[in-house]
Amino acid sequence: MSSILAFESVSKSYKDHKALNQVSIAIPENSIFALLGPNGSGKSTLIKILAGLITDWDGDIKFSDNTIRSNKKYIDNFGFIIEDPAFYNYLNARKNLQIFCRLTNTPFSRINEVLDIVGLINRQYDKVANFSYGMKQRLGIAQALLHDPKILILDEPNNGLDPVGVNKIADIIYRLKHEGKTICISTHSLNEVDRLCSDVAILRNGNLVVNKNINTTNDVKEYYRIETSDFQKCLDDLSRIDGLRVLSSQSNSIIISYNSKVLPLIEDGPLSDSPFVRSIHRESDLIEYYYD
Amino acid sequence: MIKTVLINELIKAMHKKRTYISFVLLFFLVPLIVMAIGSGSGYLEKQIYGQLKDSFVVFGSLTNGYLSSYLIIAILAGQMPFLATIVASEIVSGEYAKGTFRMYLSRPVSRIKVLSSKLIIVVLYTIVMMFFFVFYTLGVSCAFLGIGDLAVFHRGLLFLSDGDIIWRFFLAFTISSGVMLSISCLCFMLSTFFKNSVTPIIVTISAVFIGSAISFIPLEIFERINPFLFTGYIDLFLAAFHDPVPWDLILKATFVCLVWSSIFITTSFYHFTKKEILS
Repeated sequence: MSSILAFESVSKSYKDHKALNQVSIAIPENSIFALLGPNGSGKSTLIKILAGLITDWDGDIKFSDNTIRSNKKYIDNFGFIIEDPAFYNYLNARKNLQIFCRLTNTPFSRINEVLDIVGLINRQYDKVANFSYGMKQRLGIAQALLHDPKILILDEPNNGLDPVGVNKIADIIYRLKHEGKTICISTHSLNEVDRLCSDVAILRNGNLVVNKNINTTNDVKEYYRIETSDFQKCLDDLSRIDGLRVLSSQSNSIIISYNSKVLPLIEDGPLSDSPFVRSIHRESDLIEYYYD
Repeated sequence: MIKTVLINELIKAMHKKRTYISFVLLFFLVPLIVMAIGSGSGYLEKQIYGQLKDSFVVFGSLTNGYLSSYLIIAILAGQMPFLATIVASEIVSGEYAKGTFRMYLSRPVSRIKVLSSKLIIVVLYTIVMMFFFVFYTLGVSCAFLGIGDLAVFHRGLLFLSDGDIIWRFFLAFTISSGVMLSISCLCFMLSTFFKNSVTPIIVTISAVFIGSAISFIPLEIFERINPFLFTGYIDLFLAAFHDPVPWDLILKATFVCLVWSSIFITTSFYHFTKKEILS
């Protein structure tokens, strides 16, 4: 699959730290692409560079093989939600979208279409100040869709949403993918990535750790989160298990990788009788990239 | 494209309550003062012109709509800088604070056009506010107290005849608007630097306060500096009622205000186009 958007050795430094270090990512066309990483990994910085909110940076970004530095019009093809969608709370939803329509010469008739997509058509004359958080997130997607962009960049779209809200956003994303759009989601939720995305790039401390297609993984390792009643004794038990590696341990929670070809971990496995294990939950394979 | 951005700014300004604070305040305050002047005209005339009666015989009353307007404008003009900062302080910093720039500036619109449209709104607001201040005061005063000759203090006592007054109010409006625009531009510049709308107001009013102090304190160094500060011309509008009108001083004030406004506007654009929108 060809890439529609490519970051090439993108770097961004501030006085006291380097937010991005030579990050190179290729986003395939018509994919749901995840930009994954813990807080402070550089995801939002990368998005803000693409959106033109950060003006001083190194490297290059290419959209359809054309560098964005020489063609500012590239942004016509992008719709952004960056952090929490912020609207003019003293205006209603429709007036807010009219403001964005004017910036892209989009006819006002498009407003009804996007509000219908996000399920807010009946609330268009309500002031945004009276909207719930989930409604503002959906209105954020609506404003990103107004000018029918080829690529949607959604920065943590499920942040602060309840399970119903998360499902609604997921439905919208699937619908847009089937319409031929490319969607890039920045998130720190592994479950979200596993659920929605076809490709992923993981950032950590401003560095790219991995950029791959999720569906092609052949790894035999499994990853678990163990909640323990006695942290130290549980660690002692784990150290005696072949094929098991502790990735992270803090408080009463331990994250491990386990070679399941050796022995299943959970059913009649070496931890099934441990008195120090309160619960074991399967984790996404991607969690490995969060830890050294 | 600037037209569409300007329409956006106009809509935003019209829907904010703070846009109307100045007008509501003046709408209620001015008639109260006019009525007070009307009911206390005898006392007022005695305070202002009492000594004249030693040398002159006065028929009728000197208190009329023109005198009332002149007094109200002279007294309240020093407070207008507070009102001039209301819109300018929030028009950029408010968008930083609420995060709306994240969506607005990630659109295909240049930052220069965005800031230009906001500056136009600030200029329009300042001019409309001053126009309302001067001519609403004039209208209410004349409606309550009628018209007549205007007696002002200039090289003694100067009487301006009925037909020689209205154009002077227009001139006063023009002069005071020019100074207020410099104050608004200062506040606008500060609004591009800060993420809250209070700091631009405080810094602007502090600057006006310091400038006014320089105007009033009779020290040689202050007298040298004062002609180069726009704050030194806040009460220059009174010169519109002098005879002859000091056109050279008015032109000098215009030039000084233009230079300061240009500095503020240039700084605003330079900073805003380079600023990184991180939150």
